[in-house]
Amino acid sequence: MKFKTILRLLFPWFLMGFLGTVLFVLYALGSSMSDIDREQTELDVREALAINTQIDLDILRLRYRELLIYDPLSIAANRVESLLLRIDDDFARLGISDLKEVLAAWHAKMLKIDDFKRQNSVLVNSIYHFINLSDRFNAAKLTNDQRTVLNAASRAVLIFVSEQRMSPRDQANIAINNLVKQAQSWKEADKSLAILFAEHGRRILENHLPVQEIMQEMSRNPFAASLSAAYEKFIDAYAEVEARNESYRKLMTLFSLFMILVVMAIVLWLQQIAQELSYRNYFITSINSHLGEGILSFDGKSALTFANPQAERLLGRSTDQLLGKTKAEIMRFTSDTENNGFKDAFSERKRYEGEVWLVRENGTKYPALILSGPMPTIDGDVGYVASFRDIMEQHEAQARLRLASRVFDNLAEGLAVVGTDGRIQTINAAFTKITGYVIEDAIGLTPGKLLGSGQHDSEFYRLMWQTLALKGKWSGEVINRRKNGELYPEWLSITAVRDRSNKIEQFIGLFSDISDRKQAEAHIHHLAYHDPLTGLANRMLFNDRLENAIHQAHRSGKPLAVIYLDLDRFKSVNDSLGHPIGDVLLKQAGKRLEALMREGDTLGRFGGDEFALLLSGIDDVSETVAMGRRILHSFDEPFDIDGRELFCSTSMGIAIYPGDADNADDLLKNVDVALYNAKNSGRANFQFFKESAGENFLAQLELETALRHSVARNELRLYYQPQVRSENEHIFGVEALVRWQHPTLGLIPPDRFISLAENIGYIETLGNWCLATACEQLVAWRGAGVPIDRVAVNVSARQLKNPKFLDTVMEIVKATKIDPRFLELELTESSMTDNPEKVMEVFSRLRQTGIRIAIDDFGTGYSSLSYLARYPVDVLKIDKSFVQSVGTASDTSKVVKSIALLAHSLSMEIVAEGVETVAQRDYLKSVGCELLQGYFYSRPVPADTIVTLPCVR
Amino acid sequence: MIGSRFSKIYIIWTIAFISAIIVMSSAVYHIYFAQSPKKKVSERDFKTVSVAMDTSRARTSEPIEPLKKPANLDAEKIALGRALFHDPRLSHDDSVSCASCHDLMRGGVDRLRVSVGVDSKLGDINAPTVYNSALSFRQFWDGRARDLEEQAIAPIVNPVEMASSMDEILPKLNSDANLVTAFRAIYRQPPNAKNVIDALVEFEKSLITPSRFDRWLLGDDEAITETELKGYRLFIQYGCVACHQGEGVGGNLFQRFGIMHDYYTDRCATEARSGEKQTNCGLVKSDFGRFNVTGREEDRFVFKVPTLRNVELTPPYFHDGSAQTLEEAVAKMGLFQLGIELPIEDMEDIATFLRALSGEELQ
Repeated sequence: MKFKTILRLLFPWFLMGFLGTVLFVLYALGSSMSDIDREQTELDVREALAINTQIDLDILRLRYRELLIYDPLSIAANRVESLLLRIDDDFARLGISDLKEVLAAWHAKMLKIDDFKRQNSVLVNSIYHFINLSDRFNAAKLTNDQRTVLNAASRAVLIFVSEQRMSPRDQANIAINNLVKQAQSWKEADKSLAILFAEHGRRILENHLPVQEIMQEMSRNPFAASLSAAYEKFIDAYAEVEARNESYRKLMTLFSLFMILVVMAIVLWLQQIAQELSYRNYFITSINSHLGEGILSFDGKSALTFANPQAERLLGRSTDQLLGKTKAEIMRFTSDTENNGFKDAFSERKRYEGEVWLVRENGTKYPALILSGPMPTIDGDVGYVASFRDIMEQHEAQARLRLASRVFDNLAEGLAVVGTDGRIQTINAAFTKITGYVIEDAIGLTPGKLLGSGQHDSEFYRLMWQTLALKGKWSGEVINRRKNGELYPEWLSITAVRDRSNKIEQFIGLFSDISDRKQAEAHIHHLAYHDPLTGLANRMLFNDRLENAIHQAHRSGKPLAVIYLDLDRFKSVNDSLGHPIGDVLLKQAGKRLEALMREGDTLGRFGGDEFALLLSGIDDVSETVAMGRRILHSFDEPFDIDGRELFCSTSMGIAIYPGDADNADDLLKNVDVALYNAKNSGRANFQFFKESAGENFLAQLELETALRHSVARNELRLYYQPQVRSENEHIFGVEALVRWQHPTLGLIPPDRFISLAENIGYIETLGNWCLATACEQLVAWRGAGVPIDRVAVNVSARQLKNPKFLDTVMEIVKATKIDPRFLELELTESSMTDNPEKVMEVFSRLRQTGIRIAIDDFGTGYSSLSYLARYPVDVLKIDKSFVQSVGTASDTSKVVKSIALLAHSLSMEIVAEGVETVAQRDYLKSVGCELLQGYFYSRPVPADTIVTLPCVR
Repeated sequence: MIGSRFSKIYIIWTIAFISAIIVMSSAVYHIYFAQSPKKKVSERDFKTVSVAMDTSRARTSEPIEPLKKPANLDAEKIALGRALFHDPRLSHDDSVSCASCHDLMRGGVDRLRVSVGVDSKLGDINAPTVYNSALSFRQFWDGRARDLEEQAIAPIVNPVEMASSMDEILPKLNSDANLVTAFRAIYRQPPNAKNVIDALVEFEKSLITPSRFDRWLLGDDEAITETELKGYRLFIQYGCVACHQGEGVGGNLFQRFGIMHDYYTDRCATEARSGEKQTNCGLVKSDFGRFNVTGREEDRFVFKVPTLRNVELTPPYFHDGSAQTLEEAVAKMGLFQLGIELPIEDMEDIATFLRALSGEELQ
């Protein structure tokens, strides 16, 4: 094991050992006095003192023979000595040495006691014998001298004993020596008694005083006092130590409490850890048992220590069978070299992530994804843990995916995967090839935004989505736009991809570019419906169109016309010049006819030299006549065929629906009849199926012809209507109005011939005449002194369109020598809308010369206020319909007022037309209308009657 | 795996916790509660001491007190001590035991003038009896040992006696399995310096020898003869009892050898007279007695008064073993201590009395 691990394991024990040691030390410190029994010591001291006193008493008793035995004294002394040893022990344990003095005193006393016992026994014995011998002397027959000597000796001894002084002792010695000296002469028995008596006397003299001194000394012995004093010190020291011990004990108690807290904290901590660990254990166990991957762990010796249920399943063996086995026994590797990576990582205890090939119980191979790495084990070795998973399905799925991907990429059809949000998720290579958009362009955009051509309306898409939603499939032709802007048709199949809950997840759009096919189809269609030579519609297509046109005409109520025509003498051209020339002629004829076609008309060739023309939505039969004339006229020019000029006229039959027939077949039959009639009537003409139509047309034709000659024949007249200043009701100018004086039909109003003139292209001639005439008249008036400052001439839209209009006007002005400032050109609003830029330029040029521009009939047509503001217009003429309604039920006075305000804000003059009543006049005056024109003042009158008008005078 | 390991730790900590609680609670108990009963014991001790003091004040009419058998002795220790007492391994060469000089069959002595130690070395003083030695207030002739414990080691280390040491004898004793077993049974320890001495002392304390005279002291008038009683009276009358008194009939004080006459002068003269080799005529160190211990001039020639119990069995007498018979010793005592030449019959009566002090069990 590593040192750190050992340290970690031993740490709790070290900690407990340390805490225990601290506790023990505190205990030892706190109980250092526990074996010193203070009370016992006190008892010992007291006993020693008591015995000491007893000793003193015993000494007295021994001295005076009250006690004969020395045992008590010896025993007491020994007892004190052993007590002192014990006390000394206690003192030493407290660390005080105050008993030395006591012991010294005691030893001194002991010696004294020994001395006392020794001397006292002698003294007592000698006194006893001294007295006994005295008695024996008293009883014996002695001489007086003898008695004197004896008495002197005993008296001297007695005095010494009672006086206890040195001088009596000297005297006693003298007396005893004297006795001994005297006794030498005594008879033997007396002599020995006397000497014995003397000897005892001497012993008394020797020992009495020392014994007395010992007794006195003993009473002065400092033992008791010093022991008491020492004991006092002991008590103090003891109290001090006891106090210290007490504090240690308190400390120990606190420390014990602290330890309990620490232990409790540790226990709580451990409990928490235990809980956490157990939860973690449950967590890991749960994960292990529900994990989709097998988990194996090995110890330092590479023996298996753990396998989760999934691992058991994958390995086909239970944990009991696996535990303790080595890796090789557990995981059956194939011999593939790619397994070596894992094996090496395993033996080197390195991290590994990759695939290995394993063998199942039944012997089949399967790939497993392994994730593994080193793992610390409980005994400090490096173990290994590996998770693995059977990825056979993924392998197969990947293979399928690769195939799908290849198919996807190599598909000839463009493919786009679109999410339910309508955005492209992916596209294939063919998509890019067809549309030109690469994947980066496409992803995130909707197909509509990317490819939309605008060729399909929202209904188309709505139906598409509806079908998809209902059937999950849709296919159809869609026109889309390539990246380069080119439109192309595609055949699109959309399939909705649904998830398991049948919810649409994606749409797969598969499409192929069908522009080539479309062209072929169109070609076939063309061939089927067109004449190959001229490219015109064949009979079938024509009939088809005719049917449609009849339906349409039936609905709209507008008539249609069919013109049948063939080339006159085409057969002879064919015969003489050959078919190729005939074909060229036919082609050129077709082209000429096509050029005349209006929009919506159909030209067809029925074979040979027969052409058919369908004119749908005509307003008037005269249009048909005009067309017929134009066709005839177009054949006036010779055809240029290979540099050869060839004249060829045509004959036409015309039938009108609904007048001539009510179905296509009848109509064609009838028109054929009409053609036949035309041929019969001398070729190069056209014939209507019904004569009535033709008659009507002829009347029209006569009028036209007459009109064409009206200027030349001087049948046109100009009438003038005055324009009056509203402030003084004096004439300011006149408006020139044209009249046609027909020789037979009489005076024809302009609305009958102006549009005709426009139709036949005579309007310019007519207009120029009017302008020139009006100018001349004004010059004439002004020459005659008639106070007319302006002449207003109407200009047709067609006149204005003519690029030479400006030059024409300038020529007239020059020719008539009119001051251009007196000239005003009136134009309708509609004439300005065709080519506004051009009109504006013309206006500008006119105004530069001083000519004024007026807008006629303002308010009735289309008015663009923005153009109005920009046009260099001088005058607005309020239409008479507004003026005449002033004061009536449908009061338009507010319109008039508004127009007036508008004109004034644009610095224009206002001319009110059609003023017929006083009220109208007054109102127009009130809104600031400068000029008034109408029957209230005058009808249009010939030039020479102007001067007779009241407003002129 | 994790769980089992965890529970192990848990158990260990629980045990640690419980033991910590036990240790702490016992400590707390010891500090705060264990002291109170001790105080009661102390008070009881005090009373006991008081009773003992009363006993010490008791008086007897006779200057000799009856021998009391010691109580509270441990029979096993006594047996062990007896074995040690007879064990020669306590000597340097395993030749001498305590009993070699203190023959229990010979009154606790070797009945030689001076004892013979290892290598036949001669001691310098007459061996006192081991019987009733516990009654002596000091040990040895000069009283240099305070008690038996102090005394017991001395012969072992004395170069002319057993010439050994504790360091030497303990290994020998410890190699004796039976002895070690016996020591362990009593002391829970193998033999060591302390318990060897303790066993010996315990044994010595048991060597108490009550005599017929004790029975007489306790009231048995028939216990001693007329002559013995007469000898006792003479013993008192002559003043022998001035020193030889108490329970031990001596052994409780020091006294000068030769109060009335100089013993050594006389000893020299006696030896010269008897024609013996005068080797001991001159003073030797042991003759100075207690002076050797205290160094005080007044202690010169002072010896512990020996017990007279079993005196009959322990010739020769005196520290120098100069008195061969009891009668001779009595006569010398009378002469040197009391200054009297005792009449023959008195001397014999006293001797007769002294023989009555021999332990009844020893005879």
